[in-house]
Amino acid sequence: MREFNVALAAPEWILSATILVVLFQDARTRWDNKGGLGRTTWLGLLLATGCAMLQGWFVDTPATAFLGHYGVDGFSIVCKAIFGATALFVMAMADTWLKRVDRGHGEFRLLALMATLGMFFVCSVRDFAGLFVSLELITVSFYCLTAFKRNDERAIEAGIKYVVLGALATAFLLLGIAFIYGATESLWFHKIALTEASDGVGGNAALLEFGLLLTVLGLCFKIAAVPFQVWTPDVYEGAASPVTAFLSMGSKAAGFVLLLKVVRACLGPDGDAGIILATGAWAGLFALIAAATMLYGNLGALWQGNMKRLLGYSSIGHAGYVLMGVLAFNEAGFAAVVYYLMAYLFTVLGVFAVVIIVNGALRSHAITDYAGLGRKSPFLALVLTCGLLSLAGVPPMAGFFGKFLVFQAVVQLGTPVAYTVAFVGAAGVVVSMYYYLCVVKQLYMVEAPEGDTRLDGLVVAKPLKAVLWVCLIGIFVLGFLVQPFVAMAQDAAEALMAAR
Amino acid sequence: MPDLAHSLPAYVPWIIFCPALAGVIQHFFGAKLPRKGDLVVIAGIGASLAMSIALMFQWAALPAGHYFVEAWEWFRLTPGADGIAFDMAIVVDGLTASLLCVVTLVATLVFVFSTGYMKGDPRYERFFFWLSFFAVAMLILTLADNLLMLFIGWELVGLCSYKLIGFWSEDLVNAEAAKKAFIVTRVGDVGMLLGMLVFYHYCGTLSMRGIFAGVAAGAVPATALTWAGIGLFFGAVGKSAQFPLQIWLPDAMAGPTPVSALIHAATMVAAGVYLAARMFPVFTPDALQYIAWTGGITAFLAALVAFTQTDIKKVLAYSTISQLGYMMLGVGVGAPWAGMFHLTTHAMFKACLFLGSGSVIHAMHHAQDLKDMGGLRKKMPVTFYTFVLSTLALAGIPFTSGFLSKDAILIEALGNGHIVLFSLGLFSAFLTAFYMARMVWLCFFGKPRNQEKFDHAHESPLSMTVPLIILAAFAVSFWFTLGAGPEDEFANQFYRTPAYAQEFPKTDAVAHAYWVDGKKPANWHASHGPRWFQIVAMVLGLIGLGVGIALFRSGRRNQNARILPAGVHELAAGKYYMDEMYLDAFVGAANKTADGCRWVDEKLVDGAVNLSGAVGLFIGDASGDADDLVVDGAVNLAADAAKGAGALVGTAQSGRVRNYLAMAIGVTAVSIIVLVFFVIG
Amino acid sequence: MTIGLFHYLALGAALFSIGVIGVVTRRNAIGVLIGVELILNAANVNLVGFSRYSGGLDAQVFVIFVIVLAAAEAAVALAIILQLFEKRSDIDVDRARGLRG
Repeated sequence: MREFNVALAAPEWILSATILVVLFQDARTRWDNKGGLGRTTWLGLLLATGCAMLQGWFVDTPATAFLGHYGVDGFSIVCKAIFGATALFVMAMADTWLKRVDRGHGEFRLLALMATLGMFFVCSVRDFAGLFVSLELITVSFYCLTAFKRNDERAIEAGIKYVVLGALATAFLLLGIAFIYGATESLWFHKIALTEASDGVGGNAALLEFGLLLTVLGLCFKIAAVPFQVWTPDVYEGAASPVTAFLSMGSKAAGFVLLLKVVRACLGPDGDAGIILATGAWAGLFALIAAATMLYGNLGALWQGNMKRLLGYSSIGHAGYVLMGVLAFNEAGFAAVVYYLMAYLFTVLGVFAVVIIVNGALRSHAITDYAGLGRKSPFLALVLTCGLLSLAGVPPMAGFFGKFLVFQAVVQLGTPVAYTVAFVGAAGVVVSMYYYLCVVKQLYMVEAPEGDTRLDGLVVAKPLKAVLWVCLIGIFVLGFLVQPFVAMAQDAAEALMAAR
Repeated sequence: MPDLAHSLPAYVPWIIFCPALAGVIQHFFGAKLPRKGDLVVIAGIGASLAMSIALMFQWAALPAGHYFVEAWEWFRLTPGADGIAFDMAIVVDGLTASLLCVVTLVATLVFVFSTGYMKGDPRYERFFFWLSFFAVAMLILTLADNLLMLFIGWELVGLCSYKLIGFWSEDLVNAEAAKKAFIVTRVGDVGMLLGMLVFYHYCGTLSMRGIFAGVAAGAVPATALTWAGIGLFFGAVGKSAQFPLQIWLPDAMAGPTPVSALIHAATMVAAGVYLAARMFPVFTPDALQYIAWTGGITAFLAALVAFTQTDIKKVLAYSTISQLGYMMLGVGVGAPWAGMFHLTTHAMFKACLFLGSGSVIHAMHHAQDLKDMGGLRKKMPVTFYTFVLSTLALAGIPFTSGFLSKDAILIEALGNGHIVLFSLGLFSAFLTAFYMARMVWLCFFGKPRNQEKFDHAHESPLSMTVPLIILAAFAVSFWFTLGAGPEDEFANQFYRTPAYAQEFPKTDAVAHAYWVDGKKPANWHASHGPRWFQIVAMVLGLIGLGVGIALFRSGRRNQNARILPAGVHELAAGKYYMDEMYLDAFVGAANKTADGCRWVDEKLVDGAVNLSGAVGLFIGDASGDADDLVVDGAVNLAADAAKGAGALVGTAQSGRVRNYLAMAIGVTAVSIIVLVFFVIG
Repeated sequence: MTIGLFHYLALGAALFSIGVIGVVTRRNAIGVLIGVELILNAANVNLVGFSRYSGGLDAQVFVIFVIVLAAAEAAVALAIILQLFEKRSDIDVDRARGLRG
């Protein structure tokens, strides 16, 4: 453990190198010749993701580097694959979107790459310092990305909101880390469990619980859960669509990965609920957060006329479902979380890909403007419909399976709290059906107004078309041929539970 | 593998694959194929029909109580020693075999009928794609051996129903009806999902055999068992349009008539009954009481509403709800075989009635109000005779299939001591004969009320009349009494010994838990039941028919005549105001809350401006238009309920960063206080 | 009087409270930002205090990281606020409420 083992962090090295190359390339090319940047970015992301995945075969996991501050195990590899895929999909969307923007191509790619680097680090951190720094790398990159359309007042407003709330969440998170440090005298994750074991419910327990509470609430900002959920619809609406897509998948998943790591750190060494989490009050707190989040998201989405706002609320709702998996505090729950994130990747990015294409033609995000898409562009409508139904949890699509795993993990607990939160979740599923169907209705059952030709002859760039296909196939594969992916999620959860 | 199980014949999966393959071909090449591909789809379902019939005979050759089963591992959840395996499994017992034949037969005939009915529709090929897709989903549901697979089929049929109700989406009303159908049934599905999860929690599996084994071993506590059973049944309440979720089915008549015949009369809506019959061994006596009363009340209430309707399809829709109530009544009084038997006979004659009405509507150029009809019997003889035969079956007249199955249910209700429900059922049977006579008379007899439409009316083409004739043939009791003696008859053969239940000992927790050990069922067939009952039922049916005809034949009463007493008529015509009730209850409550928020906002926040910070800002500036948004959007009941609550979220989402900050800090502060006082302190 | 852990924590708590009040009551974007920075520094003071009295040096190193990150965050935030000022000629966060509902 006490060694640097520098090569283990190869995916992160590759990404860092890509960032530097893009930086130099950007400085040395004329403003109208930025195509090379895109190619470098693609290459870097592909290499980094491929390298991270290859580690699954060629590295004897679990392995650590940098004196144990950086670790690679089954969990981190699966998560890096998710983040790598997210970044690649988002880049395909960004390529299309950047054609409409005449400047800042280099900066956009740089910031997106930095956020991706942060996400990769998030998978591998093993202490609170690493947690904080990698999280800030993501957050600060996203501050810039949100306000990227700097001539657009709405984007600036979104940026302000994101920054102010994000800074507050960061402050809470840091305060939480300070208290945890005070209780455990260490920044290591695994010291929490050790402190619990040695100290019992001694004098430091209160300090520890206080710190954990603030840490969890701080992380709620990233995952868009109560009480830090309010920014979501506003920022989703104001920010550029590829950024919104990245936020909804990458940033949220990063929050969940860290939340899982923190929760795991509180569990006993054998995976039993540790002294703190066993009290039941914590399950209650998580259940409360999950239930409130699901209600807020699903109810708020009901009368939205703006597609991106609707997806913002829907994203809050989904954070609640994933939280249900977290609050099981066991391997089945964690596996459900990982599976849900995989399913969500294909589902939500497929939806956003269509949103970006349609927005390119419409210059509007009004749901009513989607009328007639089913006739004019059947394939786009099909992807959007499957994506929305998957979000709504209709079998046999990926979203249903994610929900099924999450629900079964929670119901297996068999406590009244678990049943209550499952009931709220199930009610939320019905409610969500309504607003997703409102969009589907526009696609197929409402005609475009006479003479409105904006949606005619939509051209989809090749990379984006590939993304659409991959998402469509992914939605069905993860909803039906589930075994390999369930096994993958379970291996990841097992590795997480085994982590020290 | 227990002794009773046999391995599945290899062709069975193809019962699903054939229409699936046809659907895929239709989706991608439909528009380019000759006849827009309808023959491909019909061939697909026809192959399924042939295999289903073969399977039925193959199953019937097995000794009683034996079944076919086959499982392929689907995925495995590992926590635990070996993990929990989820299978893709197919089971074929009497319930499956008979429902398979019903589904594939009705589907084939409806597909053929549609080639005539939908002729010239601009999206003809798409229609057949969705029909085929529906057949696949329904077959998955039918063949499923575990609740997860069944649930997948269950949701997929809902999806197809949604697409097909809204098929003629030019009219926005259709789109709304489609949405309403999907969402209302989904309310039921939530109950079903929760029930499934409770079983999963206690039994550790979702396979039916595992659940029965768990229940037999007493793994599920009694209260949980009751609630899980009611939860599962609630799924059936949604799907089979039972009280109080029956409101979606009449609206669903907005779909093309073949869709109504296939999905909303014969197959999908009956899936609820199938589920209840299949899962019958897990229902506790309390749960069965609930099922029986739900069925009885639905049968009666819907029959009353049918009187007030003048749209030919709406009458049939309420009649379907009423008959589904009958089936549930059969399950609830402890005779799932009777419910399943009625499902089978009803599927045939109700599909015939719907297709007959489709034939009429087709002839009348898409007029479906009874006030435009009359005197059609001479112009459309085939439609008329098949319609009348099916009507007799629905009214439960002797020598029809409906007589057998309806009496089976009523006699079981009587035999098991449900006197009130029995009377309710008997009275509903009388009402049924009455309103059907009224409809037949208004439609086919008397003088034409719309001469222009009448002049253009014509008998439908062969593609439409042949399915009618075949379906009408099954309205005769002959087919269902085939067999050596009463014990070998249709219902006994198929419905008495479904898979699994009989492999476990009877427990006290569950009603007549296991069919083999359980109470010997009363003899329900004509030759074995109490004779007075047979006569009463028959006479009531005939009186119903007679009264119906007598009232309308003189012509003194027109189609809008109020037959029911004034108060009852208003109530029934308003569909008991349930749609409005849901609206009022949920949206009203939400409005009140929004008002409350605004009041707090005006009085409190403005008064105490910034100091109050947390609380005041939390509620924020309830935007004045929250109310308008709630009320204006009020179209769809279940959703509007939540929609009102959504206004609250909108209130919180004021757009002001400081409110957001205050909200976050406020919630954090509350969490800390809770932590300090309740957890640490 | 000797300065002990309690004094560090008390200072942290005071900074935290001032920060929270500043965040909630300030309409000026810069004011809100300053409030947040105060909360961050409250956490820093706590970290240093804990580090001094119970743990090792690692928290003090961590604090340096935090200061750098806070500076980065503030720089980005100021840039966005500046942009807001350019658009609307004021930096009242309550007036920027085009996105809501």
